[in-house]
Amino acid sequence: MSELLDPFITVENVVFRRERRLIYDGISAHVPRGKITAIVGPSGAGKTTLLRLIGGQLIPGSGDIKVDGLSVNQLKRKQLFELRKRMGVLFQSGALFGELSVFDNVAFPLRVHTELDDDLIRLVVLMKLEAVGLRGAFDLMPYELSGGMQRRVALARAIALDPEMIMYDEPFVGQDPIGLGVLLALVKRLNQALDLTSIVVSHDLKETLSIADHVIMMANRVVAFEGTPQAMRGSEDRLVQQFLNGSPDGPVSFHYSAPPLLEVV
Amino acid sequence: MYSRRLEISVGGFVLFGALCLAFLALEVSGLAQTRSTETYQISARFDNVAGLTARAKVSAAGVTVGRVIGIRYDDKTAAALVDIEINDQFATFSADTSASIFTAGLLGEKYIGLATGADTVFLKDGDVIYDTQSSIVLEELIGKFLLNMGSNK
Amino acid sequence: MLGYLQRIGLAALSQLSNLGRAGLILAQAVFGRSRAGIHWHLLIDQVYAVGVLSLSIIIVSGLFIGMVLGLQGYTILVNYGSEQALGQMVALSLTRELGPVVTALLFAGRAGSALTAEIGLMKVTEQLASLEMMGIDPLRRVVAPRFWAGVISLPILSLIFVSVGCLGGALVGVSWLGIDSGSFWANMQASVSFYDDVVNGMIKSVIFALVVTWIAVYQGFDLVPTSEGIARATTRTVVYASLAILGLDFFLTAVMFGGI
Repeated sequence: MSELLDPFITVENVVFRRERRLIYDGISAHVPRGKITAIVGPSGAGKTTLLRLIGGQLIPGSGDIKVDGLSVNQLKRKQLFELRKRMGVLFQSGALFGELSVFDNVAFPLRVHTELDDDLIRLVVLMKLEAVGLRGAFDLMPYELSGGMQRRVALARAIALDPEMIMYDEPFVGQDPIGLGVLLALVKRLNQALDLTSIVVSHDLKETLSIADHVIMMANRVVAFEGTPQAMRGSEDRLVQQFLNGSPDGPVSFHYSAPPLLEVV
Repeated sequence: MYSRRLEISVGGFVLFGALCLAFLALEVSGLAQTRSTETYQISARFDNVAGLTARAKVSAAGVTVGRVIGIRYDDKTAAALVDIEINDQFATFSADTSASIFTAGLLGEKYIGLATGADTVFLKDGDVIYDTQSSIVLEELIGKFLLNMGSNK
Repeated sequence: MLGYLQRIGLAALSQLSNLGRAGLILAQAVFGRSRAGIHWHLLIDQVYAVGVLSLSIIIVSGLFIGMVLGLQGYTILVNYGSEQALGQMVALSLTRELGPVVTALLFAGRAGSALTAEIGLMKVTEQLASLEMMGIDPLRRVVAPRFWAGVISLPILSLIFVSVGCLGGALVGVSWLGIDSGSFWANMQASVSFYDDVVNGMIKSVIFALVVTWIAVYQGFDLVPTSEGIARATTRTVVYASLAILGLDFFLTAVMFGGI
């Protein structure tokens, strides 16, 4: 099944260390073109790190990461610059520029990377804001918005240059059910309408799986599972099952490793 | 946020700085007075210049006419040679002008006072003044006083 | 024993790599490719934040320090009958030492720590990372304007400090203590040399500006992205910058004035 899908991004045998700690011990995975891929797993498994590796902000110790055929870790500065224009990123904190208004935030990438005149920029910005449902808020300042609204503005900014792919870093954290529903619908709708390749990193499993076409589960420094959501639910792997069911004990143990109690008491 | 008011206040800031620079140049360091005029140089030979420093004032009749620019020891004559820079506007010091070292106030700094003489030839660049009065050294003064006291007995 | 030496060695190596990183950040911020137009606005914004907003503390400090110098100077000089020398004492102290040094110390505390906190906050809220992902060099856009704003503002603030200080000294000496206004200013002008005193003081100021702003900007850029990290980094900025100012001042004074 996975082989039929056209991979937009491939990760091959990537080993990555931060300071002394081994984060990835030779992982391989791929992200199909035009679909929504979810990256899930326990906290600290390094899901956000994978996004940073794909975006070229971090360099792997060994292995290869290809985005649309280009090896990200071997690109020169200028080529990386060009590649990044084709990527949109939604950071966990939204990362809006606090001193600019909503309009100026969304207009920012347009003003920096294009030579469009003010009227055209205004048109594009309002359209992007309309897509996320915040056109009416265009002259507000970021601190006047709720967390969820800030994220939507950041999303509008991420799609300002009409990228081919978007990476969402924990977009659902701290959202109430309505806000969550709004974001979920947006991710799905944008993916279809703009023909994007979307990667969603999240530990909100149920919600994420409801919109994902492809799932990569990271745990214990390797890829624990890769496939469709249905295949994941039917998997017999104990770790996958523990994660799906949210069981407190299993392959991810409840007790931190320690000598047996009887020996200590 | 970029705005007109901000731009104006920054411009005002820079202007204020420039004004202060001008103030420092003119009022605090007296730049205009000392640097923009032409000067000529003469020397004066003293037996003792104790306490005189470079950049000390040189005045005539109490008016500042120049500055000390250097002090040297002349081993041929075992005397001190003081190089003086005088403003071109004061070009009428006679060849027999006398130079004395005075003290400003009781413990003030030393300065040189010039008193012009009767000669009709004037001092020009490179000339030397030989009629000089050295600075008063306190120890010598006390010594003389004690000597006088002793001899009066 | 060996372990102790090892730790010292490791510490030295990590300091060296910190210095190297700081140098790279400086080089990229200062010499990187330029995209004029956007950056002019940013520069003016930053000169406002760092220079104009520091005016009140600089002016008040300058005034009071000048006045204290006048008062203290008078009480000492009057014992020797040399109170006419007050003007030159105040002016020389300010132009050569107090102006550049105190202004730089105040600057490090107020503007330097604010710079570090601001850049640090941008790092914590991932604004720097998102600039990178948008294909914009955060060093060019965020760090460089702030760096140049500091280098421009501090010497201007120094000039203002010295001027206000001299006026403060004159206020105390002439208006309050009765020194003759004419001899106060005349003595001052006779002994303060523009090139040797004022200009040297300015040179000190520029060097301090470079060092303080560099430290502030580096600490903000390189900190651990947590709120505690920001707090520690701002403290480091103030401490390191202050020490650097005082140390450099001694060295510069020896070079500039020790020769005379």
